[in-house]
Amino acid sequence: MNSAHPFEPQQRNRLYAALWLLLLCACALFCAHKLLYAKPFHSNLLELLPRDERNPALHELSVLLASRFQDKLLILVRADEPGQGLKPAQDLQARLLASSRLAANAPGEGLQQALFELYRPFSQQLLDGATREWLQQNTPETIAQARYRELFNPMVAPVPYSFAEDPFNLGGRWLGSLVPPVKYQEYQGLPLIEVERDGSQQRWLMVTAKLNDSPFDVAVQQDVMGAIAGFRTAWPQVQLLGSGMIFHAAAGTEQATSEINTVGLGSTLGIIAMVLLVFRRVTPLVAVLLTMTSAYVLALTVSLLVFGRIHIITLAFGSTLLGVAGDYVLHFLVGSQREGSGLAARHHLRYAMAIGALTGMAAYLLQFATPFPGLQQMAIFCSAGIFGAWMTVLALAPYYRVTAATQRAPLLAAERFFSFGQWLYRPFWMHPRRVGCALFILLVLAIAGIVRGGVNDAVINLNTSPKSLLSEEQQVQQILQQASVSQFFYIEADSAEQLLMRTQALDAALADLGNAQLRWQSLSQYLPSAAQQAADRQLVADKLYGARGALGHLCQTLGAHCTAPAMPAQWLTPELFDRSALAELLPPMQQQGAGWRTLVTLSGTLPVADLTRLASDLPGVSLVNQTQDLSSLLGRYRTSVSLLLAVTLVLLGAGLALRYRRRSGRMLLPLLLAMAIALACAALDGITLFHVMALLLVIGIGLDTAVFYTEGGFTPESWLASSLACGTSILAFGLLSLSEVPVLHQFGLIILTGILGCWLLTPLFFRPAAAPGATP
Amino acid sequence: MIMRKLLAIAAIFLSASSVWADTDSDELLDELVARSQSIQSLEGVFEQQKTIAVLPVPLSSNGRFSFAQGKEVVWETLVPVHSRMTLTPGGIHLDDGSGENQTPAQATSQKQQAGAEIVAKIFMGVIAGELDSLQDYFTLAATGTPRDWQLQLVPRSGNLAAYITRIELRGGEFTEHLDVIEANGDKTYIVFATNKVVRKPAAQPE
Repeated sequence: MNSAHPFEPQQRNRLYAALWLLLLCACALFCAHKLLYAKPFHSNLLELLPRDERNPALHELSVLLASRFQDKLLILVRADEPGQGLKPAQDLQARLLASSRLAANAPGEGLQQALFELYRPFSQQLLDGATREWLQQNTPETIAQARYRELFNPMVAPVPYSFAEDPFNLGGRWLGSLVPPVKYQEYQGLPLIEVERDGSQQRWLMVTAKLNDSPFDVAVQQDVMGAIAGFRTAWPQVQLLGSGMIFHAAAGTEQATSEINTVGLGSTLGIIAMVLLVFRRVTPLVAVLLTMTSAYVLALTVSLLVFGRIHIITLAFGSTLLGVAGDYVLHFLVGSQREGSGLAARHHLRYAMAIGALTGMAAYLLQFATPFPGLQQMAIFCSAGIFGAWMTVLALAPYYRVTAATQRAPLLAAERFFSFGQWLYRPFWMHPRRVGCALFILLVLAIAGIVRGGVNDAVINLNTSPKSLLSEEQQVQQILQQASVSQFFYIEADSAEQLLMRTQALDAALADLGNAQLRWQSLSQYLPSAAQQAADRQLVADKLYGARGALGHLCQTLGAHCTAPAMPAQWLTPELFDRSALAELLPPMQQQGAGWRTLVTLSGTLPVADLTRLASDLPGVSLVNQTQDLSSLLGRYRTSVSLLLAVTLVLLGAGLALRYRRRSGRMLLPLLLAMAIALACAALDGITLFHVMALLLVIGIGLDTAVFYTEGGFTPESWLASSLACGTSILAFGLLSLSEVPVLHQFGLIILTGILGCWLLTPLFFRPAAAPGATP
Repeated sequence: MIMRKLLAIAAIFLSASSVWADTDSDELLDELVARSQSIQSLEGVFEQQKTIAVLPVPLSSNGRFSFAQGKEVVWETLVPVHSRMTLTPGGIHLDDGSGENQTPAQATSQKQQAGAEIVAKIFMGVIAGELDSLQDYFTLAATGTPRDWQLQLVPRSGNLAAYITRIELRGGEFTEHLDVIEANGDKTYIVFATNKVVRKPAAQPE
């Protein structure tokens, strides 16, 4: 030890350790900085959904449509007696606006003025269907007469422009035709909605606000939820219905926080208890905690670097990393006790750890290949974490010393635990045939369960919001007759003009259906194509302002000398329209390369068969059902991931057969059994894509157990190490299976039952040579 | 649209009467409303002048009106054209004398029909003396005495203000003048003459 030569590797070890610790410190600083200033956590469901790879433009448009409501919140206050509902509604608004992070947002306030100005220059070439028909069917004399009567009539449409500009009030008729179909009154400054629901007349006052910051900002969430909680205390009997991304974000934050706490804290405490119980010393505990921390820090750093922002679901799932990262250090600690030093243990375990870490990372990284951004984040997060745990063990192993005095305790624990294990398994080892039969029956039952349960590709599996919130959102949508964000028409064309003409054709076809339950909103209702504007201008010029036009007759009757209004020199174009305040309230229109696209949104009761027929009859028009599309996408991926799973198992079988020959069967059988049982448990609600993905992770963790027993048989060490490793994972994923988020619950359930199965079933196949009986 | 609201407002105050001491705006309003509720039915004639910016002379018309508490309001223009509008709690009916029952603008869409229903509902509420209904749309300011009062109505929302700048009512025992200033520059002046009043027996003023 004194010569320079043997010191060399030690110096190298020191260098590695120092470099690794330095890197971890840098990562920790980076994370701290990001967390404090960039606020990288979000709970945006939309970002978790897969992109529709077949039509990215459609995906973009629909995301745009849905994201418009991101920075607004809307609360309906039940006010069947508006006089009684007014005070609570005003109080709620005041409470919300008391926050500096919220601003008043009157939807449509000032809109009328904006509409006046937008349409003013074009008032003589914009005609709604009824007015066009009226002009076409009547003589100038009749038109002049009707207009003359109208001038004295108290029942006229609003008159936005002066007589000089618009003598026949075409502007008033046009604007009148744009009125939204909701019964939207005002009640002392608040919008009042009357609606017939569940057989009774309901009235709701609408309170709205605009968020100054992102809805995923925790401070904004606290302000909003605090205001509402205060309101509920003050007015416990008032019924509220909320709608807006902020509510989902706040619910997501609350849920994820509680789940991160449950999973994170639960598995940390569990691991600490296990380590203390087995090793009865502080140093191993420090080693475990250090490894878990470094795994988490590295995972966070890499995820932030790759994605910039992290979904809170990723964090919740990532908490299970603590359990997985614990495995490496636990293997190492048990190995160190056996070998007598950390350095020796590292040398001895280097291949096992490398294989374990690399297969674990590979299992997670396979999920990176899926189109689900959420799963991609989880994949990167967890594989970076595993790498961190592995590297920490490698770098710091030489500094873990085992003293003779402390060597006894764990071995003692192992011996006792071994006796327990032997006592537990002896009866099974003694009757291999019966066990074999029982396992076979179990397998048949599991397969029957899987077949009976069938599959489940419902989109609700992707949802992260509580059901109550979704139902509120649905009710608001129903009351306000808001457009569906999942079902709409998608229209494509080669030019803006063609796009508007195609949309116009769809408008006409929809009107021809004559279905009062169906409402729709299209851009062309507000922005006619240039061709339509030209035709209408011609009609107006002929019928109203021509040599024998209606204006001449009208002014003769009035005894006035008047001149025709100046005709605009240009059309109302998409560009002009896009700049107005109205544009963002209407379905979006987008240009990409030479292609133009827009949506026609639908609300009310949709006659799907009619709509499908319309879409197939009209060029460039398709009916989109995002829920269905997404569901079939989930189904397609479930099939392909199942295939991937099968291929993995076959390759694994082949690989194991090469290395372990006949013993490979014993390794695969418990794994397959455990997987079948796990899947059968999950099949109760139907098997989802996420169940199948979780099975990939089960292979990674479950195989380790089998390898342990195959290398050394059922020994005190293998039994203890596998129990510790499985125990930490069971703890972490068991807690995760309690999650209310479907994806997390499904992952947790499969991994919990899968690993539980591997842990308990594998020893059945590894009867110690000394014990009586044969392997089943 | 606008006129319907005006009629609603006018109808309450047509019945203003009696001798009350000077009060502030809110009290005056309360009293005017209370008085309107004591009316069972009312009939009268009106003269309307409408000033339209480019036309050299105002458009004059006249006719008669009537209202029965809780039942209906009739507004009938006689000269120079004949048209008759009836408002009931069930809705609005217009007979413009041209053979058709509605102007093309009304016939155009269900949407406007829905709007008309709301106006009718508010209107009947107004007659029942619910000041709140008016205040949903306008801020009200009253000046003067119950014998000689002025009432100014300013739209609360920008959307209504886009059409109406201001409405003014003046009267003594009954409403005598109604002025509407529209945002497009048109101005309408209506002069009322009430000639038949039936009061509710229970609500006879002392």
